[in-house]
Amino acid sequence: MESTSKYSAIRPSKSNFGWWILSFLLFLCGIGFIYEFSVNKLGWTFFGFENFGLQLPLFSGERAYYFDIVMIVINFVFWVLSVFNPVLAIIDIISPFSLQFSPIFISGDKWVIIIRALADAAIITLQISLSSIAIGFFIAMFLAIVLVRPGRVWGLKIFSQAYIDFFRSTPLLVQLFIIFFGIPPMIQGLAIPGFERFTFTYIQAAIIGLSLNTAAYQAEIIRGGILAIPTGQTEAARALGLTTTQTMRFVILPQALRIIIPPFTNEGINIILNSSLASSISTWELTRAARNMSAFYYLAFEIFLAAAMFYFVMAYSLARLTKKFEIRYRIPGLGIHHD
Amino acid sequence: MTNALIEVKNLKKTFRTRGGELVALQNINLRIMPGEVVAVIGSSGSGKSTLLRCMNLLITPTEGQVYFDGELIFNSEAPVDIDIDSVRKNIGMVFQAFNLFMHLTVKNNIHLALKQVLNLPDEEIQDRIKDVLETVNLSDKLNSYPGELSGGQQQRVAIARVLAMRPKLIFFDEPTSALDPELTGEVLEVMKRLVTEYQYTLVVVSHEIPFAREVANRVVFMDEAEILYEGGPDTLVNPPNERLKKFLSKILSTR
Repeated sequence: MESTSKYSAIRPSKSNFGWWILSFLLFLCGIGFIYEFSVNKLGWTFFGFENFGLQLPLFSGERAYYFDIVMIVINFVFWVLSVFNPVLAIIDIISPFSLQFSPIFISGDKWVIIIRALADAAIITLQISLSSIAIGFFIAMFLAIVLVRPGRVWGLKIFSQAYIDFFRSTPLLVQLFIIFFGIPPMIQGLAIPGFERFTFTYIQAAIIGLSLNTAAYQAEIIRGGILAIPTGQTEAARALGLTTTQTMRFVILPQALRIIIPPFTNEGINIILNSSLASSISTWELTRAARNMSAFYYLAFEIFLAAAMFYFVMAYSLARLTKKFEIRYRIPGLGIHHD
Repeated sequence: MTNALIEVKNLKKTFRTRGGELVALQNINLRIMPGEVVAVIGSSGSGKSTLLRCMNLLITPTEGQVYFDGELIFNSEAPVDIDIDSVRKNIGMVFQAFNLFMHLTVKNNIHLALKQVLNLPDEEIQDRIKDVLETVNLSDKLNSYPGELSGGQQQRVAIARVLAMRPKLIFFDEPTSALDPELTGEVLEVMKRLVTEYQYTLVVVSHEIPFAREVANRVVFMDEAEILYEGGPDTLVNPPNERLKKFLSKILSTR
């Protein structure tokens, strides 16, 4: 007993940090979820107003100006909070009615309305792209491991290769069209009971298309990472008696996943930016919102610039975040670092 | 008569290359008895490393049979139904390039196989880690990462990782050839202790002729994919064979 405690005492306490971050994120998720759910699904009111996202009270003069600024700040805080909201994203995927609300042109200063509409749409963009990245990662992991496994795994290798070849060699826009316009009529035509009126919602189609597409690219990234690990590591693990699966899980993947952080960030940014293509299957996301708004207000330059800034904030934050991960999970004593 | 720990019969290994077939090993017959220290020497490309890897089946031989502890573990003529991982946990292997798991601390490098392969209780694992690190004189490096250690220290950790498994025999694949001359000493010293204090069975592929002369009780000389000569350690002093004499003088003159 004594020896156990002696050894555990030496362990650095660095893993505490991760738990703090995790519980903080969970906390934010909870707050964001309660807010979003109560306002958008239950129709509750906060601070005496009917609905935060949709209506503004009308004031006049200087007071209105300050009031709008306060509202923008509060709304921005809630926008940030609801970003951390995977639960809402899941509800969005499974529910036929979604966050896509159209009656944004109500009242108040037009820039408040524009920015608020863009921010709401940006959340949808973020939900679409983050879920796609996550779903795509699981598919990609499967594909990559099938491809690098020694020996034949039934037809799985051929399937994986064909999948990657197809999704990398056809345009994302065409893939989205196939999924949104092509697949529902086909399923309807099969005359399965309960599926006669089958359709995807806009968000479902966008998430399916983007995650299938990114899975192909991510699979190649992960495969590259696995191949970058020296053969000696596998040899040593196998010589110790670890099985192929254990070797993959405890030796290869922990190192490969560290290597792939930079290319993986590229792919994540790609997906955030490419989610704008979902606007052409009428998904109400950032680009779509900007297009509608600019058509309404004739402010194309300003509104698209604002949309571009929203994209920039999302992509840039992702890049900084993964850079943090890269530094945090760096293997001590390995590689060249200039920072 | 006791069983040989490892026995290979009529072993042959060919690699497919662009130009045709490369014969890495042929006509190999070798028995390694418990308690023996066998030194395998020979010029590079003569198949020494391939022989080691064929014996624990990291490389699948093309022809021949391999026995471990009297049990057939490989037969080129008929597939053998055996769990190779349960055999390998009894055969330690130390590599030329150390091959420590770079993302794990020294402690976790040793911990991994004890937990995942041997499935030992935590207390026993801690005891073994402490023991083996004392054996290789690295008790203070418990929480260092391999990248932070010198080559000699890394190789000693690699030896500790193997020792913690309590294997029946240990293969050394040129354990000192990636090290600076001043660092080879500490590794060779640990290997000597394995023989003198712990009576381990070792198969050592090495260019360290003085070490082989001192520690080995059998020397296997390989040349061009075959075992050319097998004899006691004194063959290294008075080489009975012209090729061996040439090889030895070449090696010793460059040192």
